[in-house]
Amino acid sequence: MRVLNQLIGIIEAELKVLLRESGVFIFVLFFPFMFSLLTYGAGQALTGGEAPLTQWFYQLIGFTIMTIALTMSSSSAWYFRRGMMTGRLEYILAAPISPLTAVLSSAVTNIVLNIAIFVVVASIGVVTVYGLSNLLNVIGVILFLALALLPAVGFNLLVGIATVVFREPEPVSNVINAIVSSVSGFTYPIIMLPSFLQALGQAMPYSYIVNGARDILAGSFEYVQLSPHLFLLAYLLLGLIFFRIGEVNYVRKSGVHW
Amino acid sequence: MLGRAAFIGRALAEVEKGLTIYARYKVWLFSDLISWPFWTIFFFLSFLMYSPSLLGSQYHLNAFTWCFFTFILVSSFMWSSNFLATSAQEGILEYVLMTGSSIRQHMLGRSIISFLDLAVGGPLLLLISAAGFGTNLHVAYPYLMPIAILLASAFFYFFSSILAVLLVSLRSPWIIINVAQFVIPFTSGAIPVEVLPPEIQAGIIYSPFFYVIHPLVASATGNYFIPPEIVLSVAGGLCILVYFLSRFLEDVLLRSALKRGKFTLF
Repeated sequence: MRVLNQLIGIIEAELKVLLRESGVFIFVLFFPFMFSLLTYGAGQALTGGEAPLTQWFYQLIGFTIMTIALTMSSSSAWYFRRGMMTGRLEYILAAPISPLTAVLSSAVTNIVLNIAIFVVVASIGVVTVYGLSNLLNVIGVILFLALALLPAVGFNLLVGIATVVFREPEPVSNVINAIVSSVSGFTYPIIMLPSFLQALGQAMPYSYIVNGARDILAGSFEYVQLSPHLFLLAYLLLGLIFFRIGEVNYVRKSGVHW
Repeated sequence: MLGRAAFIGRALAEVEKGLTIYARYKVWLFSDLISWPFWTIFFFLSFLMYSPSLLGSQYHLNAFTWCFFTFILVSSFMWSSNFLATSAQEGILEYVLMTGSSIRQHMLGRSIISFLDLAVGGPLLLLISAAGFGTNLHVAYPYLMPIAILLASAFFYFFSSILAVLLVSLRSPWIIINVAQFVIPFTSGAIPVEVLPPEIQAGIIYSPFFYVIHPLVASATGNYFIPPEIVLSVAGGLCILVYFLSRFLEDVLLRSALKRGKFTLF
């Protein structure tokens, strides 16, 4: 019960901090539209005006999930970086609260806000391409993302620990973001990639998340598509284990100064 | 002579600062070397998803390679606009100006990093395109390409100074920069003009950025939409214009800062 109270308390504080930075939300809302319309415009040019609207929708949903994935991995990296710079991380470690509770609270806050953003973008996309009849599918995506983003939390814990080790969040998240963005099939089918990159994409959770979200919105989702997500929860487990190892062997011994 | 010596001394100090910062974060260089190949794949396939058959067209592969080279150039310089806001937020800018240095001089150190980013990222992109996508890299007008790169670098150096002054008081200037780094090149000539519909071709020449960006791609493909001497002359004129505009805005910002005690034009 005490842990739950701590979790809710930190989520509330994190929400307040995030809501203060309204520019970030405008960017996350605007970015998928901007980029998908840009590539759609180029696509129209390349195909002589024959690019189907469904391809724009494909990329719109892809860019949105990609922005969520990048925001989540960058935010955990920055969470540690800011904590190290301001000394807050040292206080969290010294406080009678599990550091994991603090980090997970931050991740949960991000998931909630990102799902809210996704709902806005996806609703506009669905109404434009499929009409009002498919709008209810957005509710299905909310439930799906709440489950499907859990492996991403584990992934972000790995990024967070790497940030503590390397001290600089941007180079770490830059590399991870570049790999995740290019091999996960956000904006093009991964079949267009060389086979070893396809394998890398399929080993990470994001291609399943983005394909699942697209299929639910289009009304073509099948329950069998849920099965990989159970295995992908291993990422959450892996993240928790590495976080614990990093906390005990590195963070507690070397300190978290910057 | 003393004034000139002081100016050169301050400029060299800023250059040294830029190089020191770049060398200090070696992990950044390492990170760029790993991430650029992946970003190249991402951008290529995001555009070519609409027409995968173009992956077999050497002309289009070459054109899109230079399109993304242009994006790297614009992006490298645009991000230096973030520097002034950060410098003001950290309280560094006031101390720098007390030494008699100008805003533009202070920006020089960050611009050195932009040049280095371009020097590393640009050739790396060309290498990845050739090795990863089998592009036969080709520059149709090799004598015009260096001029195009020089003019574009000068233009975006001064343009980033203007943007930095306009964004100095924002808490999150990176949002505007992030949007602008995509919108400016891809709507102003980075995408080869010959593949665009006629209506867009007719309108694109009204963008001032077109005259700076188009020569980079057109010098490689050989398809200048407007005669090269006209495009490059207009680009030269625009460089002079943004130089004077950046000086003017910096003066206005400095006067405003001295009068009101805070760095903002508004």
